[in-house]
Amino acid sequence: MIIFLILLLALVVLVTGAALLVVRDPMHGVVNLGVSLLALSILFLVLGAPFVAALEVMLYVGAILVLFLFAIMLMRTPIELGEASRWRQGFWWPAVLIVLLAAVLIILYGRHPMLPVAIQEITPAAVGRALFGPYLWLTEAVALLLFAVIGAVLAIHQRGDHDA
Amino acid sequence: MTLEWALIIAALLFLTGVALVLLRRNLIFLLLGIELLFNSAMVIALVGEARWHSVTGQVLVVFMMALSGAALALTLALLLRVKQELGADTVEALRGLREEANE
Amino acid sequence: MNEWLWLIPGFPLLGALLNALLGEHFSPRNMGRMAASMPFLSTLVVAAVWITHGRDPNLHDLVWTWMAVGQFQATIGFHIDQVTLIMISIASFVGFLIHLFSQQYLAGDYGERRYYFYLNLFVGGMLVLTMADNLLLLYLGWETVGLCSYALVAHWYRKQENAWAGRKAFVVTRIGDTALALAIFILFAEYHTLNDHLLFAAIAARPDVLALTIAGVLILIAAIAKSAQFPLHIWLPDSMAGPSTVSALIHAATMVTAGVYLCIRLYPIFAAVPGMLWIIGLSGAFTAFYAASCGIAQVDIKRVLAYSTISQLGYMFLGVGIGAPSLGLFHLLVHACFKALLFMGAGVVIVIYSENHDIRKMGGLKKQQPFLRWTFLAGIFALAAVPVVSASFYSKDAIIETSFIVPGGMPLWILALLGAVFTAIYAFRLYFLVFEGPEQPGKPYQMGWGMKIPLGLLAIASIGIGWLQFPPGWPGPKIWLPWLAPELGMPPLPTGGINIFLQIAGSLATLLGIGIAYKAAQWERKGQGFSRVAFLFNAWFFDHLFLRIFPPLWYALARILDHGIEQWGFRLAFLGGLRDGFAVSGNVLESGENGLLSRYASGMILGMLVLLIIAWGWL
Repeated sequence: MIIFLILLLALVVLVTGAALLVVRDPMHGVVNLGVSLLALSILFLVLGAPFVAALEVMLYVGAILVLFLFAIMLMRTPIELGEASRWRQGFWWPAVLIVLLAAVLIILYGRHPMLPVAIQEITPAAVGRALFGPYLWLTEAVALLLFAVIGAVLAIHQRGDHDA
Repeated sequence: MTLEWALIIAALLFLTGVALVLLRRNLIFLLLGIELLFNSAMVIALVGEARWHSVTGQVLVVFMMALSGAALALTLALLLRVKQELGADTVEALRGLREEANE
Repeated sequence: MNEWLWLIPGFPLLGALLNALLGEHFSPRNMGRMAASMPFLSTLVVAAVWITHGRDPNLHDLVWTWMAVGQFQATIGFHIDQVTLIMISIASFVGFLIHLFSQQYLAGDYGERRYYFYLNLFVGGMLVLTMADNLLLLYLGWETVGLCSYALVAHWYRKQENAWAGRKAFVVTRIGDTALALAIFILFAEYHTLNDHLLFAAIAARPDVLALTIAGVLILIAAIAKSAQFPLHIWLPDSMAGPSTVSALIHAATMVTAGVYLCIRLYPIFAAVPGMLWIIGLSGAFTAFYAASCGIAQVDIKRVLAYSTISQLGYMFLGVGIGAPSLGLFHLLVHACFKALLFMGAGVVIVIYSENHDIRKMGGLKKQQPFLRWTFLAGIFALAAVPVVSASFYSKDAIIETSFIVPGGMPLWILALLGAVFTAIYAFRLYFLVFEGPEQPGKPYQMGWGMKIPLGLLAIASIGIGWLQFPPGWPGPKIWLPWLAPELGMPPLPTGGINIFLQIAGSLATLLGIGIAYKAAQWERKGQGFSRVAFLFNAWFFDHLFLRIFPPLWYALARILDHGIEQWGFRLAFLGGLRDGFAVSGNVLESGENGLLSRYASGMILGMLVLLIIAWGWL
């Protein structure tokens, strides 16, 4: 049963990924990413990680994508986007590179060991105990980092003569 | 089978992310690609967690989310400045680091 | 008692922290008082250790586990055994005396607060170094004292040459630091532990002679650099650019003794390699002889003492090398007392003569400064190892005597004995030139109690501390060697007729030296003294040799890299070729000019691809 769910999720990721590659409007791209991340959140649940599944929705879809939306709004790109190319110049070399990368990944995947199937759910309580136990210092450091980002963003926009 | 498919999804995400970073012109898509790369790494961390029943996977994911959010916030702010100063929001506008290797 | 060990390094480190954070709200005088009280508090804790566990100390304190990965644990753990107890007593008490002395000596100088910060940090680092129970923490202390030595030697940085001297000290000791780090890596790779007890047990169980030889050589290089032994001694004479109190602390009592401590602490490593100990002994004996020979020709009062330090450290290494580490430690203790005394006294002399360091322009100071004269004389007695009434007669002469009876010790004994003659010469030459003879007027200087107490205490120690261990055949206490025996074993001691012969030889060497010194001082005043021998005055021209060899080598290498690789190889061939290659292929595939940001990203992905292919091939 689970396998059908996984296949469905894989399909969603594939489709939204392809869509991301071909849409022109950044707003469409953000929406596609949102769908993709929601699918990922369900995947996280299946993998036995309810805490990060919830975080994925709250943080990623709820905060980071909203950041994207704000940024797009503030950039005030004109609505008509027909003529400009989607791709950067010099498109072919990197495209070849990516195809090669995909090929190598597929070949490497062929040598994988059998992974045991039993997935135990690891509760949010356990994650909390870990975060504030052995990883306490890292957690505090990341908190400090996030705080520092506020200052950094202010510094970036400090030059004053714009009204964003 | 679940974990194998999870890895395949991670690989798909990774390839998509890399393609967005390398091939698209608009900088917003570049950043979307970077988010996909982060998420691919998160999936792999959770596969590791499921495989070895260790809580470290989720801890890693939490940190990755925090860090990617921080990086993204800064990058978007920079993006707005780029739009302001350089007038365009494409990859080709960012030429400042170019060395004078061609004279 | 075990739980309070962390206080010993903790107090000075606290002092440094308070100084750094709150120092600007208080006057430098008060900062100095606070700074001086910290090593005093450490001394109290050390005294408590003596009282409670002095007979057989074996204390542990695991303060914190920094990281535990697999088998490896990096801990902050302290351990006190006999050797450590001596080292921390020296560091805390002599450190305190020097802090006390500095109150008057550096009053009103610029950078006073900075001085106390680094001084506290230094004492803290030295205590950490000597109390560490694993090599990683020892390395931390090692590096800390190296950093503070750089900062303190270059204390009066407004003069260019002082900053240069500080840098020279740091760079040369860095060679030793690198060697020590490599040795630690090798030891860990071989024995998977850095904790002293576990490491020595592992070495005893499974000695790997090759790894131990390499590690031993590297450790020896580290000790030679830190303790200013030949050939890495070049930094010490120039480090006299710092304040005299700094020299008293760093170049007499503590930092330079860290090399000796390292050799004593890691003695099992050297013992497991055949021949290594004899090489240490040879290095020590030769350095003792070499530096003493240079000392007799110096005219700067502090440079005499600098070469003296190099020479006396040589005796300590000799003690370790001949299988008598407890004697080496004994001399370390004695040397700390009298050398700190001499440096502090020299500092006062320099101030009296208005920053003039040339001893040929000094004289007759005994009339103006009787207290200084008697304390300085006590230090000189100890330096020259005057029979019976000086402490180093019991320590240094014991080392020289023992070197005679160990296998292969004859050349070491000869070098050491000659060194002793030279030592007595330069010691008393210094005294005669500065304190005796026709009087050269200096500034009147009134020493307060803060200066008199340290000088007085150290003078008493310079005379009497040797009475802890009388030579064999003499009546009197023999406490030192048996106290250390459980840890370091009993050294071989001469007996019978050989013993009497050696003691007479040692005493004669000293008395001969004093006699020659009297003459040497007179010749010096007439302008015909040893300082005219350029070979000795310039330390056998060693510094010049180094300056001719090494800097040109580096500059040549840099030029090759710049011209050869950077300009020709990289710019023209690589970049140009790449550019042309891209232009051609770009035209073919309609790709034109790339946006550079994405090109970098493509480069990363290309690299990743290559790695994956390699991984594929590997698996």
